[in-house]
Amino acid sequence: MARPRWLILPIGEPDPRDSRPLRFPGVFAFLGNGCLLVLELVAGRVLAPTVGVSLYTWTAVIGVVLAGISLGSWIGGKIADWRPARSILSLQFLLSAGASALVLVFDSNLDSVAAPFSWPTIWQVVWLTTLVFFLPSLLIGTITPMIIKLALTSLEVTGRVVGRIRAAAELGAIAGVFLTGFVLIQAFGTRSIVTAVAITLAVLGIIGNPVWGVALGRARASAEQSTGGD
Amino acid sequence: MTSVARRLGRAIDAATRQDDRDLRPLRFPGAFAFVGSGCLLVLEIAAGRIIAPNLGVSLYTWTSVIGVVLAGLSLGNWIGGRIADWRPGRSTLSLLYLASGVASALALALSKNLDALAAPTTWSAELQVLWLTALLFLLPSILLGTITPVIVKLSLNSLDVTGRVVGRIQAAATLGSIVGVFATGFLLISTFGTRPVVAGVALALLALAILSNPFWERQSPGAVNVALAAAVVALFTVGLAATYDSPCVKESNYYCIGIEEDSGVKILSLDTLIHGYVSLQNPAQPIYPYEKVYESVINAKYGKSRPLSSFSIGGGAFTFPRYLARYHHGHSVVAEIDKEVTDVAREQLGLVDTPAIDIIEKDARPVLRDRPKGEKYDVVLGDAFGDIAIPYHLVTREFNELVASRLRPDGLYLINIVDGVNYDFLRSYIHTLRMTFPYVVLYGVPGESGGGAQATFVVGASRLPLPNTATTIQPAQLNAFLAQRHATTLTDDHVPVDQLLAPVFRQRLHESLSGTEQTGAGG
Repeated sequence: MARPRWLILPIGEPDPRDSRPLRFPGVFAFLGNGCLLVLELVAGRVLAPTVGVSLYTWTAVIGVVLAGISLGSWIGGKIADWRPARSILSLQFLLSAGASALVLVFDSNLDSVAAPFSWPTIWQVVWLTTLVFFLPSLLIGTITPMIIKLALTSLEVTGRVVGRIRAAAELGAIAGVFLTGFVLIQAFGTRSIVTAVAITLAVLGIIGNPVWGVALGRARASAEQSTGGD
Repeated sequence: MTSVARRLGRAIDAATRQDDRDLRPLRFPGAFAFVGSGCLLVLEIAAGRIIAPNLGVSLYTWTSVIGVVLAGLSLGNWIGGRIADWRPGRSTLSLLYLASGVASALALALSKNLDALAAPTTWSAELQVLWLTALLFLLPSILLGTITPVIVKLSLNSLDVTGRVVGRIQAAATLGSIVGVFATGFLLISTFGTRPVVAGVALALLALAILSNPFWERQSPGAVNVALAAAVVALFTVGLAATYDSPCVKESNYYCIGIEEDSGVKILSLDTLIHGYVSLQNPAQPIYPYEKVYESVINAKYGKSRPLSSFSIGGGAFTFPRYLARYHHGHSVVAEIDKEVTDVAREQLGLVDTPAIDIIEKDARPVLRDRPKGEKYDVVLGDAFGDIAIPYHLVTREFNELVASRLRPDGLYLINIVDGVNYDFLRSYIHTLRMTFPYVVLYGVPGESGGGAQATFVVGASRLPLPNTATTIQPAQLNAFLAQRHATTLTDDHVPVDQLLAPVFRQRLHESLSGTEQTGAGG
């Protein structure tokens, strides 16, 4: 049997199997948001050697990350309405992983992409922060609306479902902050932490892909067939 | 009392009566989400600054603030979702805004006397910080967290557009957060101070309580009651803010700056730490013990042979640049990140602008990197602190290399450093410094290098042997100290300053919270 193309890329006709709710939507929201906060906390360390540590760096980091999430939420909402699909969610996670990995590339060449010396400090900081951290924030920001969309099956419970997934996402954020502040920065280098974030997001992308559900369904069907045949 | 309760009950009843108008979508849901979330982030930034004069600024204080606010928000989202499904309505929203406004006013009231609220001293330091933070800011965070789900619920009227609606309102809320962070960090605190900012949040929320009420247009009793309650709380809030007696001469973007005077000496404090002593008769006279160590090392090395050029990482009270200018005909470049600190030094500590002292209001590392290539220094002075910690990008091997490249061949790098308990930070710092400089010497600071929670030292580094002074710690002793425990190499990639200093923060918190008098040290 030919493998349906929507499993990997959302091309062609939407398939109802592709928009089945995720098994543990809260876990995906938790880990996705957690990864973003880990990135946010190490951002100060990535930028410090080039632009120092000041109110500007922290404000720029918080501002750029929030702006990314904000725009990401908006875009993510549009995508979710256009095509609520787990294959797209999977892609969103994989792209986020790629953008996080890009941070590593920038990290080795920060001085060469820094803004001209003549710019005011604040713009130098905002420029560099945006260049490195806007894209991963934006992409991770698109994830939660899709998770919510996949989980919403009735208008009666919208408040509860949205509240629960948002709560899971924020718990992930707390976990990300505490883990990074108290454990990760002490135990590992910045580069290793960013690498781990990219890997986690990639793994979520792979797990979230509907191909597994389909494969399991097929396995179950064939198992039933064979037991039925006995 | 009972009549008040009955009145309140009736108000809630009237305000929450289900009615078609009550379920009408909000006119500008995004604007409401924007202001609500903005208020929470304003509170979060202000919270760290409100507890700073009592508890300092460390990994523990910021983690507590972020943790409490996020936990409150998370719990609030969950509760808000249930409330939204149970009783969706603009009146519900109005009451939630009213409650958030009251909670913010309450935080303001409690923040007037933090000492009286401290947890039992038997608690661990982390728990005590968490207790104080939660007491003030958990309730407003929970209540503000309940708002977005209710707004979303009111705006959703078809399953087809859930993604778009949720995304749009979430985006507005997040934009509000951004504006809240930027406005508070860059503008609000340095313009108004922390307490008026919290009062402003309470007032904004009370205004939203009135604006979101659907019955307002027809002046129903519910709307009038909500408006009355909001007005009473608003008056109370304004009263609280107006009667607050601030311990700071100025709240800058970074610190609560304090000035005290004791028998002809002005004392500059930033948050919990004393950063400088300035004699009114002779502001160029080093008084702070660590500055006297700087003085004796520099005199022993250079005498008065030639004018000295220097770079200061951090200005503070500007005593030492003034000393170098007056007694060594020196020229100093000073990188002081906080403009307000420099202004307070000008206004209150007798700092006069002269060509001998170039003050640059930026972070020291990029400033040092971007100085003209040919400019070399006899002395680089490390004197930058965030609380007791040297900012992490100023202690790494890469930064030490930068300093070395800016020193004359016989130049001196002198750093003031605070550590205590197991001295892991000091050990790692010296270990790292030795990778760049062949000669590294540790000097004690008379009266401040003893045991206790925190001790002050001066570290000297150079390509040539350094002079001995009365307080030099002998090489054998230093080597034994370095070998005692593991030393971490501090690099731009891995520089756990807060974690290495954690035992000191914890011990100091414990002492300050149990009322033990602490001696400030820093620069």
